[in-house]
Amino acid sequence: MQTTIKEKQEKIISTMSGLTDWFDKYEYLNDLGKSLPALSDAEKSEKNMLPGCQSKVWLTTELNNGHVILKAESDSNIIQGMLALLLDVLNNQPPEDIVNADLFFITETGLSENLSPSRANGLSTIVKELKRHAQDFIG
Amino acid sequence: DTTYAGLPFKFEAGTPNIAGAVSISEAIEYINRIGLQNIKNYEDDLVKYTVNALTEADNIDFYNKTGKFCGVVSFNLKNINGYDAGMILDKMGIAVRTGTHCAEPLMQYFGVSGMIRASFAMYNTKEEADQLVKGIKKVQHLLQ
Repeated sequence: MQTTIKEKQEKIISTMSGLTDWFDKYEYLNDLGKSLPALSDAEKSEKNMLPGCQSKVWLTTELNNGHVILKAESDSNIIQGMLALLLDVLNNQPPEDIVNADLFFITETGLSENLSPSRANGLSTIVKELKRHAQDFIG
Repeated sequence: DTTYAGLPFKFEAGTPNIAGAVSISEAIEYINRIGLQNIKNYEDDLVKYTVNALTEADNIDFYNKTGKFCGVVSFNLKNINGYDAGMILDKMGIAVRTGTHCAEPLMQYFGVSGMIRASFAMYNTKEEADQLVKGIKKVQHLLQ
């Protein structure tokens, strides 16, 4: 499964390697974000809101057959796109693999360079929370 | 034993901010040479020019309905997150402030989570205002 996380990231890097212009990257993220299923109003609760993010981000997790099912949404188009990428990489994976995942695609795609410092911090928070949730399933 | 000098010198330990004092003196003289009223007139014209240009664009919400301005234009782009807009405008060399502007009660009054604010000074030009409008249209095209 770790290979799968790695392979998914490599596919993202390959796809985004053709997007050299930051404008194209934002457009790509915007389009990706639109494809992410919306959370229900009940799921967009205070309890599911991630702390410390400049925009609102909600995350739900559940364990199903030893795999973590992730759902997420943001009120920011660009963060929504980043969530789509993160979920593509980490969704439906064993919790141990999520906890140990090296998310190299974030730097190798140049995405982290194109975020403002506070947004980059927010993204770091999202990754930490994803891993923390996965860790909770391990115990 | 410590003895203190009289006021104000007892609170003036160390080297005074000489460079700061000289700078602010120059800055005051610079402003006075131009004239505060001239600066205000220029900024008002620039802000009105920008508001008129933005009003012609679609899907922009304004909050100042008084017709009076003090160098800033605050707005939101419908269905576009303000932070996203600010980040993209930044990439185009356009600096706006986004978020709650340390004025959460005001944001609550208007029922918004934040606003985008363009702030003009006497150094800004109509060409820059045009760039802002153009940049906003590009943001809308990208994110809507």
